[in-house]
Amino acid sequence: MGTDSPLEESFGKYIWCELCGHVYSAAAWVAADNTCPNCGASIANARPWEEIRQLNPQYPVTPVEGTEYALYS
Amino acid sequence: MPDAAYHAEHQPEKPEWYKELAKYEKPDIRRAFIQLCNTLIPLLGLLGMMLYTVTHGYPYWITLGMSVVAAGFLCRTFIFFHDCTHGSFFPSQRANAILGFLLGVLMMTPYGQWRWSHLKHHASFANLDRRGVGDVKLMTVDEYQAASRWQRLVYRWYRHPFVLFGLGSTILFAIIYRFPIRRASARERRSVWLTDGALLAMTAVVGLTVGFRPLLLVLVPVWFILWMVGVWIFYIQHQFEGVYWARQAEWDFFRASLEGSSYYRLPKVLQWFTGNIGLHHVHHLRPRIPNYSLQQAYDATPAVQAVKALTLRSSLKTIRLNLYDERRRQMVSFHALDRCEQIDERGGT
Repeated sequence: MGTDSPLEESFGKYIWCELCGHVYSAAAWVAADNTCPNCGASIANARPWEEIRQLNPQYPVTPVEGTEYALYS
Repeated sequence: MPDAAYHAEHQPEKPEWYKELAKYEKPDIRRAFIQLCNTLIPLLGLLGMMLYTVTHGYPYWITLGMSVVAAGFLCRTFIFFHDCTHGSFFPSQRANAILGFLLGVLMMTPYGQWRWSHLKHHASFANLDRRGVGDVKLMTVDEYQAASRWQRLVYRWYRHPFVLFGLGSTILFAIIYRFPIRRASARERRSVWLTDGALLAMTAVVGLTVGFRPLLLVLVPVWFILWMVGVWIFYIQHQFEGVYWARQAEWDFFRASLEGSSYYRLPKVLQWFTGNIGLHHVHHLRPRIPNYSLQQAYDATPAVQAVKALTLRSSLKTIRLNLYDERRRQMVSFHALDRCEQIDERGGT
């Protein structure tokens, strides 16, 4: 099954920003010129949401976009 | 670094001074550029002079003497690398990523992998339930007492200053950092292999030009001193007398920053070479304050000035502290614990 953007292909549907901890959809990152819509961090600071969920199993599968999630809650 | 901001935001009362500290988080391209010039130019100059001495028959002790100063410059370079991992050195994140990678090659440290483990360190420092990422291994007294004789021996060996700061630091930087860690993501793995490849290419080009023996005679002592000092600094930042460590349930961000991270007050020259990283409590409160603004942030904030400083002399005493006693909430030495155990065996109090 294909995805909407190369960003989604690499990171999955949701992206967590290493610098500000906010989560946005891959589409929102693309719309912000491949940067974090909250702090402007580059792709180098992007993390798949799934990776953060593995560290915090209590986090939802579908995060609330624009919300800050700690690396360890 | 999201966790500092996240945990501070979720404290019931967030002090005013903490909000004020945020204004120092702004990267300044001019100051960053000046720092790069006043560090990398002398560093490269010194390395060049060292190469000259080993290829022109000068006594090797002259080269070794220069290696101490070169290691100082490289130590300062490590702090720029560290700032890049926090996205705080340059305003541009792309520039931070590129510079971070290049400086990482110079120090045999893979940028991507180190950044991720350092990020985890900022999310778990002074937390007894989250030890093991980006910190120096620390056992609690209970864990040590429950350990087998062999595990105790290994831990004692690991904590010996010669192993921890000498042999261990060399193994860490020269060997362990050459390979991806367990469960590393594809990106971290790539950062390790790219760093190794660049290191190999750099060594090949310079080695084929000036000779491999002179190159090693120059680089090995500089790296060795850097790694030794580096591990010492990692160590002293979170393991000292009176340090705060807590279990997850009671872990408090402000206490962890102010009492679980040291203020290592060094003589000004050493503070310069270590890129103000001695102001580590300020750094943990606001990880996105670049090294060149840490002193200003400290000077303007009485709350962080109230933290008792470690000096060179007092820091040396921490070497004998090896275990964390959860009941007494303090670090203790093997010696003190052995004495307690002997007294217990004799049925004393």
